[in-house]
Amino acid sequence: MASGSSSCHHSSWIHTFWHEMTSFGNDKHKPSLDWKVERKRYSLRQEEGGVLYMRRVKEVEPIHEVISLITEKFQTSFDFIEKKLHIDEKTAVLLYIKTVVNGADLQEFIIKPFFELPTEHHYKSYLTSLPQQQEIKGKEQILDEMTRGSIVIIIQGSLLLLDIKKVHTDSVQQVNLEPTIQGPELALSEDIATNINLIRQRYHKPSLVVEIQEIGGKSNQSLAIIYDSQSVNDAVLEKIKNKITIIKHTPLIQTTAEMQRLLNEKKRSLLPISMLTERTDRIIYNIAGGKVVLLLDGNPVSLIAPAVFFDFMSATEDNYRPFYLTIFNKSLRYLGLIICLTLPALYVAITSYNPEVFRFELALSVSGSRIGVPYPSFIEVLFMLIVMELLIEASIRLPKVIAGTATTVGGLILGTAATEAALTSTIMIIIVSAMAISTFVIPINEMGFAIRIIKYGVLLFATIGGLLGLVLFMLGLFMYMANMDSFGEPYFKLFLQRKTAEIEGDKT
Amino acid sequence: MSIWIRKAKLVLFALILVGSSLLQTGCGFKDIDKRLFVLGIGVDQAKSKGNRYKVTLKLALPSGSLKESTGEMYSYLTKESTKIADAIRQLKTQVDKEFDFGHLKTIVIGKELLKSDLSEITDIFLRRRDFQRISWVAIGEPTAEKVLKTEPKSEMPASVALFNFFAETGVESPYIVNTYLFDFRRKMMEHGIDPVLAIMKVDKKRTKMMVNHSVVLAKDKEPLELNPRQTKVFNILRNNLKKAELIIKKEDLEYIISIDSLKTNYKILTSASSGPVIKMNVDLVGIIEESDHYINSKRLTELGDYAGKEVEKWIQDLFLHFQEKKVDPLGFGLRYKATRLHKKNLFTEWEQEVYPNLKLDVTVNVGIKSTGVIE
Amino acid sequence: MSRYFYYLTFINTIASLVASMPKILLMNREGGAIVSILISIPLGLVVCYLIGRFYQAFPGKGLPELMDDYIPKFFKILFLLVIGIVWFAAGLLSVITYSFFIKRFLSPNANLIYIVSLILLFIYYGALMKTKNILYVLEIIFVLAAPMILLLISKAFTNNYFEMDFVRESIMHIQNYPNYNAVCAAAFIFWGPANLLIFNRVLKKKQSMTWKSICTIGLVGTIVLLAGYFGPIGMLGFESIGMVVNPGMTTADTMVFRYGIIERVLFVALMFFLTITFASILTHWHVAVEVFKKVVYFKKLRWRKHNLTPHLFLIVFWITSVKVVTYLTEYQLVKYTSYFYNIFPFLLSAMLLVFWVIRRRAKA
Repeated sequence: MASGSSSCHHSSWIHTFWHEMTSFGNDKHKPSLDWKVERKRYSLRQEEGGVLYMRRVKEVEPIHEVISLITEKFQTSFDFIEKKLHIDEKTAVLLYIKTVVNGADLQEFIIKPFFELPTEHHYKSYLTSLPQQQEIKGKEQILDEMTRGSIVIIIQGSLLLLDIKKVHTDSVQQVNLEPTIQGPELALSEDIATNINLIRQRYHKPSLVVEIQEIGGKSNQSLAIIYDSQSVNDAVLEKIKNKITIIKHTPLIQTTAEMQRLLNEKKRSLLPISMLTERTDRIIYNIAGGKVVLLLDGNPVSLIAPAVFFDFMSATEDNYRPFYLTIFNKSLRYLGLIICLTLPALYVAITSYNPEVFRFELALSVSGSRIGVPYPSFIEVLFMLIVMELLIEASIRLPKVIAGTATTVGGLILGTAATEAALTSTIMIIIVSAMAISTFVIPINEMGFAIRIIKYGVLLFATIGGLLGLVLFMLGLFMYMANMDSFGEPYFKLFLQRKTAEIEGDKT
Repeated sequence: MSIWIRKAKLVLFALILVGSSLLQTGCGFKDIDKRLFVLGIGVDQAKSKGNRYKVTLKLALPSGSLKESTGEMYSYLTKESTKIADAIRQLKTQVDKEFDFGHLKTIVIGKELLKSDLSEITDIFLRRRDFQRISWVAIGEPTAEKVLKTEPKSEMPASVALFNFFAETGVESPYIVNTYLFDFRRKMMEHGIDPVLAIMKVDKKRTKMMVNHSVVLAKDKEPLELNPRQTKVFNILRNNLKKAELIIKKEDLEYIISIDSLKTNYKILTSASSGPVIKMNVDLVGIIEESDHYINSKRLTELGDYAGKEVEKWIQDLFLHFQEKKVDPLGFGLRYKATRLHKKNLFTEWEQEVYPNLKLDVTVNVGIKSTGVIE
Repeated sequence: MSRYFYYLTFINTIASLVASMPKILLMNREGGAIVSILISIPLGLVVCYLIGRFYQAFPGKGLPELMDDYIPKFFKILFLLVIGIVWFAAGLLSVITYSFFIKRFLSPNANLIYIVSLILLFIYYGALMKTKNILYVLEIIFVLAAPMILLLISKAFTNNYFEMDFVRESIMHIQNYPNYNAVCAAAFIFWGPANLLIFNRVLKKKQSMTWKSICTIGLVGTIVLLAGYFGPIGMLGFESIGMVVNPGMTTADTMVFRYGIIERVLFVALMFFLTITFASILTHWHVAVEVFKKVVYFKKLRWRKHNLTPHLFLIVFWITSVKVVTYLTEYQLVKYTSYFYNIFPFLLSAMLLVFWVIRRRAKA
């Protein structure tokens, strides 16, 4: 990225490094409500490739070098404007990228006062007292900020940087992935500033900390780390920050879902260890509980870490409803989970290995409904499951106009006609539909998808081992989940004591 | 290890897993429509010389939809042989599917076999794991084969009449003695209690089944058949019943009491002075079900007491009957053993000295709570 | 007292309910089994208490670490070797017993080696887990299975067909001398805390062994003993029960869930006891692997940053199990289980002696 002449490069690197060294200690003393902008030192280091050494050199960057660098970088883009303002003896030069700058603000706060204030000195004092002014930390930072919508003003021989960016994506959206019946209906927007605003407006505590970092080697997105400094679990926070520094180098991080995958230590994992949500009330609830929330610019979905297995089975409504309703709902969800996992496997295990387990009438009925079906039971089950999976995948991508057709195809044709053609038995249809419906009882989607895959494992072991294989695989699943940990928190531990006692002190 | 070798290993491993699940060797994988469910088994005396048993199997025929099934629901197979297991194995050669005994719930033994040792017959049922220990055992009259082959009109496609007679989810009657297989076995093996089995009779046309007699089977003794009234009294004393009826005739009034709560308990007292005595207490509570005259509700206690005396007489008769024939289906011997410290010849003492001289002192309290909806 | 201590104890208790414990007790029913039960309860509880008190004094350390500090090396290696073998045998006996059950009752057409291998596949994965995670698995298994087992036990006693007379008859044999086999078999159910020799490494908080803990363990143990001894007698008859090969499971077969989904209680009992037995085997073999790691450790045996020594041990265990399972008959199995239970008191007294020595030296 930095491809200027070597001396220029060298000096800016040292300047950067020096600034880094001195500002490192200062961060702690700043009040935490400030926005922090971290150094982008990755690209420089990679290209240097050599040993870092520190020389105490104090340099002021010549302004014309900066200007020439800026114009050199942006001159091929059509939206780069270099404007000179001049009246009587006042001159100022504006450098900005027009598509990301707020035209109204530009007119109101920059151009108009220039012509109203008497001298350059006044104008400079005015500009330096504007809240939109940003601290200049180096050439790279100036270029970076310009791409975000800041304007560079050259006045009285010095450079000023002001932030007047325009964002189009800040409309607050409606909740569409996790609806509730009675709860807040507004979800996060796609702009990070609006999101932080939404969160702060719900959590009026000074201990709420918002830290900003930049990640993504090529796309340079802003990442906000939000937590409540009084109740956060420090070990978890450490871990998350370490992981973020490790994954910073990935070229493109588009969504929080991708972040979720990158934050996982294991390269190949099945079960999610952090939660994605678009609801503000869930975010607040988790922040108050001591978790860390990550927001990525350009995404309406936030990431909550750490998350254990039982978090994925709780919906936001659990806190809003009366006690017994909540208990009923929770048991229903767990029942749905068990049905989804074991029902097809149970069918195979019982019809093909031990039909004497269930009642006689059921055995006779199953036997009768399998008259004429050519394949053994597990192929029949597999066939129906695959068809159901195809149906679900297709309905995600269907354009709205064809949605109705797909339902008809799935319901009528696959269901009734398959039975009539003796490809499957009627009992199989009931089992598959019960299982499909109960998959969606799980509130969080990632867990639902993971469960959909795990049930093929259960099916496999029930096929080769009957009831024994089924029970053993479920035990194996418990062991696998107990062996996972989500950023240091045990994944599958029952919280039988009070939650605070479990989290604060060590376990057992 | 290069990437290609690693990938090839993964693919190979996956193929092995899938392949092994498709081969299904040595797992016992057999689809449900390759199995034939056996619902009941009957054992009779063999007619031909050289064989001892004639085995009949009642098989369920699967049909596409149970609600609209017409035609045959069951089919039967018969074979004679020296041992039951042998007969079953020979029958396997006559069908194209594997027998599945997992749902076998009734075992019927022919009446002629009562003379031989029943513990030998039931040996196979207890030894093999796929015969349920909670199957019902009964005696079939005239032969077990005829009993099995009867399909009364009230039988629905999937519910077997044989089974519903005995299960408490079916008909509940005080004339039916239901005995589980494990109960039969433990009563046969233990000293001090004798098993009782119900007798299922079919009429000549093979359309109806009747169960209201029972038979007491004691070791080395003649099987003792009980008539319906004796069966009912036995059931009341057995403490396993939920409902019963008492038909009482008092002078010119005949009334029926429907009992819905019964309790029996007894104690064996042996004192040196008076001989051994059983003190038995029977509590019956019910309401009047049918009567041929109008009953004033003030007469309830009087009618209850009279009924009590009648029942006492029945119980005494039954007890004397048992004592005379030297059988002990109610388990008095067991109770005797259970209430005295063990010594070597405790049971012979019971058999020779105590039981023949035992007297029964029974008090029956019949409480009639109401006369029904009308008086 | 941390609840994980209770889980370790109770999993051992319930797992021995379905192993050979009822059979050994019932073999002695006419000769002092009841007195043996009565003796074994205080005996087991006393040992349980002593073990708990010892580990209470050293939170966060397992026995091998403590022996490192205070016991001469030669004796330590020998002792750990013996412990490892005994724990391996405990898990092995559970595996074989339960495989026999499954082959007999659930899938008689399956190959015995296949059944054993299927179970051992998951034990292999489990025994290599971290110790703390095994405790979480134990918790989940216990919470899921214990209510059903309680239901089964109460169902056996409140059944219509449960004849109190048989039980009373068996009690009438009380005036006999106790039998060593029966006492050991009955007391074994209280000796789950012996597993603490490895699991104490993760119990880092200070524990306290109070009267309440002892009473709870005693209560549960007594219920299990009564259910294991009187349950089969009541349902199957006193004299003839000697002829029954598996009294525990056969008793389960005599019960019916009349209105339940699964009618025969046998299948429900098989599945739930499978989970508990699995947990028991898992803890035993985890302890065995960890103990063997202290005795023999090949540093050079590595493959991609994993040390393969525990894998080696587990493969040896697997091969031994498969060989033994094809060799034993059921009768031999009960006999060897009885011998195993008989060895345990000697081992425990040696362990208690080691505890005493360590405590003396630690105080000094």
